[in-house]
Amino acid sequence: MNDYYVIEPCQSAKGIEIRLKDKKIDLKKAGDGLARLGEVVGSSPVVLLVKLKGYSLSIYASGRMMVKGNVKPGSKKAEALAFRLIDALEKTGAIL
Amino acid sequence: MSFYREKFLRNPLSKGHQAAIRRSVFAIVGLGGTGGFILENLLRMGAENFLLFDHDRFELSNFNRQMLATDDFLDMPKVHAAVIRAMAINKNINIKTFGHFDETSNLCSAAILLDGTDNIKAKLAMARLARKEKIPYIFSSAQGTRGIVTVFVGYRFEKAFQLPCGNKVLDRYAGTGCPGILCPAASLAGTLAASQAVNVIIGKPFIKAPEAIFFDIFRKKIFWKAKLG
Repeated sequence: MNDYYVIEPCQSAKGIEIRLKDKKIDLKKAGDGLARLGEVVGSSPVVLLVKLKGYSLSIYASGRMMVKGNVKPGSKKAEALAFRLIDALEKTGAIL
Repeated sequence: MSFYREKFLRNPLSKGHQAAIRRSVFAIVGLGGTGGFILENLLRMGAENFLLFDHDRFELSNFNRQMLATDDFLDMPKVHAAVIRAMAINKNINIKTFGHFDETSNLCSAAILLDGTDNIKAKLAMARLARKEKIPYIFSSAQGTRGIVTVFVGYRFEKAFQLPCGNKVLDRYAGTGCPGILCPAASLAGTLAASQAVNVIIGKPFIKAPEAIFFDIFRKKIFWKAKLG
């Protein structure tokens, strides 16, 4: 499992931000992998937008992921969500 | 005629005032909604020396209100985007960038500290550092359709916002969340903050805490003055 931080995003955002430590994300592989679990609603060379189990994900090539939805920073739910997301990305080989 | 003179010739300022703006060092913490507009205004007024602090990168949800949020800058550190933007306006600028700000940050020779952040912890750290360094702290805040701007030059920030003094934890004040910010609110707060900073630098009248400029772009009377605290 890669190291990552779960942090509180800017105050106007509702959700959490997950940031990989010194790793980047291959958005093509991430999109292919997450398309099996949810719906890829948009992609560009720097960001991938995914709807997944009631959450809206913005996954950036730099290694940060914004998770919007009913989840609060610092909660067990946030930790579990981050763990599952990183695990899914690892399995697709998207974490570089 | 120099490029600088030609670019900023239409500023209705005396040579002395323009020179003061040009040589002063402006420290800006936060380059999002208000901070981006603070930077843009100061650049257009001919400021050339900046210390910029921001730990964040641009994301899609910034686009509704943040001056520097563009597709070209998406996922880029905000301080890097700010340097590119500043260089596009004036290639002679001197900018030092920092990915972190706290009460121990080095403000070097900054003449003034401007607030482009959205949380009370960072604002308190700024107020304390400015007080320690004996420089004015330009407070600005925008939320929804509203905003507040003032200048702290002696009056305690903790008193204005009824915060604990000393090093008591401020967690209960942070992360309250908000439904969002409309761009004119962010840009007005940033523009007023930049104008107040320049007024301080060139010796024009400026608002002093505990008095503050309040605004709400959805109200009939958009601007008013009131006391904080």
